[in-house]
Amino acid sequence: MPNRESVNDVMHKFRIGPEDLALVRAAGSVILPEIDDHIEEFYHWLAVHDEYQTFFSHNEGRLARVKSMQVLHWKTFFEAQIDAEWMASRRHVGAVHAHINLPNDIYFAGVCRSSESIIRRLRHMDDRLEQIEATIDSVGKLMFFDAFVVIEEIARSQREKIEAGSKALLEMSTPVTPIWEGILLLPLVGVIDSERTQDIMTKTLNKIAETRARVFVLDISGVGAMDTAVANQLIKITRATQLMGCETIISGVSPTIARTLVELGVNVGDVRTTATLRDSFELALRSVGAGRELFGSERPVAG
Amino acid sequence: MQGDRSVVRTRVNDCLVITAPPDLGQGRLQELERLTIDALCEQKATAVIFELTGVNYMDVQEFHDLRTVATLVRHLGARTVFVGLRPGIISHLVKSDADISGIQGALGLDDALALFAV
Repeated sequence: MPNRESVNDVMHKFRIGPEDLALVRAAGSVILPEIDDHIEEFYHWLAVHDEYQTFFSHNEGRLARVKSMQVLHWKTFFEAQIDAEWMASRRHVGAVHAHINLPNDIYFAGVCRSSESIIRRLRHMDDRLEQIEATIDSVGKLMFFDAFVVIEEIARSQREKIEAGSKALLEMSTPVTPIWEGILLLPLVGVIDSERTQDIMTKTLNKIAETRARVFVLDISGVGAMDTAVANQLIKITRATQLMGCETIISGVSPTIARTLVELGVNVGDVRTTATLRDSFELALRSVGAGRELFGSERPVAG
Repeated sequence: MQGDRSVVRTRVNDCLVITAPPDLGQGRLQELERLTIDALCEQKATAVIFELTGVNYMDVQEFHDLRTVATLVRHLGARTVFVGLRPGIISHLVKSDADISGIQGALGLDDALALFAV
């Protein structure tokens, strides 16, 4: 909810001053008695569009409710009391439009149609309005401002949805899972960038602290591409886990990735790597002391 | 014991446990280095455990100085391990490109003592 100052700042950008609001109020006194005609004309126009069928064709009650809300909208519009409450009411309209996924084209087309209808009616009332051109200019500016607040709320709501989706995707993309007493597994799939690496590291370190894991298996068989940056990021993760006393084994190193690492001159140092997840798992089990009872011998695994 | 804000040294068999205070600034790292080296010179120890569980924050310079102390200890013939570094501190160090390679870590004192078979 904006404070009064921020509302004024935005209105200043739209060059809407007290004189504009006074002209809008004067226009309201002559046009509001005819507002029902304007709304009927608007819905007559809307009826030929697909959106009318989508939102109103099977719901007469909704149509009547929306029409009555539009009467209220134009009443507050021509009252021209632009304050936090006014902004909140326009944002609510935006939130409703975002909720029903109203396409932007029909919203802006509707604003355009309303503007045309209101201005035409005002011109017909020029004998009752002292400054008709200035009045039309002021009404137009306030309509743009009104539409801006609505569309800004729609955009904000969409940004929130995208951010929530990205967060959920990031959550799902780094499932650090305990698979055995003292062993964590993270199967990586897709593209690794620095943001994701940071997320992997944070989650892995926290999980190590939480589960007191001694081995972390990082399976990269699902990673599409490997370059110097990605390789260095993975090596950083292994060193970070080592600082917590947890050994990292990187599994799923394909011959292509191994060759790329050699060609890039990436030094994997003392990081243990295996070609398959099975080999890593076997190494991990031996590290936590479960190898003897499961495999019956201390046969070394290629690493 | 010398109070919550000072470096504390304890001996467990052949291991020297150096417990760092929550704040490593204001000369405490120098105190940690002096106490560690003095203890190693006075009594032989095969390993030094740096107990960092209580450290709330560590910047790259402090980590670098701590690492230097660990290197000194290794030159004096003892093995070293860092215990209880918080995930947030490690993330910060990696993000800040600190050199964390080649350092043995452990989650808890028990794990560290087990490493040296104490």
